[in-house]
Amino acid sequence: MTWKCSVVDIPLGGGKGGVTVDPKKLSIDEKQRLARGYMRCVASELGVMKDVPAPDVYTDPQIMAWMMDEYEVIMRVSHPGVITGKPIPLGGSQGRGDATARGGIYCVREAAKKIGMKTQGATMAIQGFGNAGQFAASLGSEILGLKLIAASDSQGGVINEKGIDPKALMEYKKKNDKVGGFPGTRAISNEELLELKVDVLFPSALENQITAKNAKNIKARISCELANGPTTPDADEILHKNGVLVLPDFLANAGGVTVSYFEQVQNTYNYYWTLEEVQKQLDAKMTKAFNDVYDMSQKEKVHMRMAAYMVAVKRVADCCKLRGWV
Amino acid sequence: MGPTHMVTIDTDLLSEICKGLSDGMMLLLSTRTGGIEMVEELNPFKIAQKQLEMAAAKLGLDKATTELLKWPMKEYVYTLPLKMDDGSTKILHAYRVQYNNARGHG
Repeated sequence: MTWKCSVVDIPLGGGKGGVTVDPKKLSIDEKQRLARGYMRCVASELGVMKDVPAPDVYTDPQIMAWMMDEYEVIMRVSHPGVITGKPIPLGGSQGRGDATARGGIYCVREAAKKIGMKTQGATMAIQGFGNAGQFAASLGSEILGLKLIAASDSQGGVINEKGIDPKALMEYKKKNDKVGGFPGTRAISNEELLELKVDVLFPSALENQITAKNAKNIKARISCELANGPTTPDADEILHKNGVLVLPDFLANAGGVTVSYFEQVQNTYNYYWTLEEVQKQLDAKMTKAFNDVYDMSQKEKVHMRMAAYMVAVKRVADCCKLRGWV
Repeated sequence: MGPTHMVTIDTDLLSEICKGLSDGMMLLLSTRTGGIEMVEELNPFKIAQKQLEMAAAKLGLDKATTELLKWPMKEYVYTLPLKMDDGSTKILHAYRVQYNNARGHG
């Protein structure tokens, strides 16, 4: 999170939290008790000028709402900005829901300009048709005119070279809890999906999907990492050599934390932006971040992940120095 | 636990092998083959630390700054009892990490 906040240049230090538990095995009441119990543990370390949690894996707006409420019960004061990712009626931001994917799509748009790729009608494949992956499919189609030809989830994938309607696939996934069997498609494995000849690949599932073993088979022109850590360092070198432009995770999926930051800004102002304003501000942040990283990669002749690290680490290191820590 | 074996390794040879490793690789002493296997490092934190070190070297950062950025500045660990619907209690572990607050709060 430290590198992610730094690369999009939002004034946050970066933190993370969690509980070792399988939330799929908890009832709704148990989840509420857990969210409140977690807040009782961490409340004294949090604060709008101290540390502000944002949603991550399995923490939906309802869970964020319970945590915010518990904090206010403990502190006996209104403090909506202590938690982000809240439901909109409780001080959540417009545009938080699709922010991660939208930020990634803005990066793809900028990357396409650099490599001279026309996005209208270009193809995309999505590994991991979950929250971020689904929004990437629909926004990729809406904003950039990308054509979805394959998508997968943990149970396998589907393909149709003529194109798949993202919205219809989202409906199907909601009803059946999987993409497999979607009418008009053939089955494809997760491994095969990664190696498809597409213009844009969205690794949006798990870590370590593109490794030294399969990196040489990746044929995408752009790999936009909506998941955290889908590519290993050895695979990075191979992709770089083969001319695959990787949009590294902490750049490509930084849209989520960026809109969380906007949410906190709005809570502090106690004045709320329109959806258009949120999207405009997000676009500006992502476009600047992409170009900072791309310019660094050109200047230093390094791949995009190394460039992203260099941009982010330099900003943090400069602040450490200015503070007199080192 | 199965039987354990003492494996003697020539340290010069080992350092030669290590030099030849790429940045993302690590050595694994294999009890299965009784020898050394090369596997890709897949621990995300270790990968991130390694990538940070490489970026820091490219940027020409001093040793202290690199070391500072390699570790979280604050870590909190909690033991959290959770009452279940069936009346039982689960003991869970909870965490909060504030990695670095040089540019602002967490």
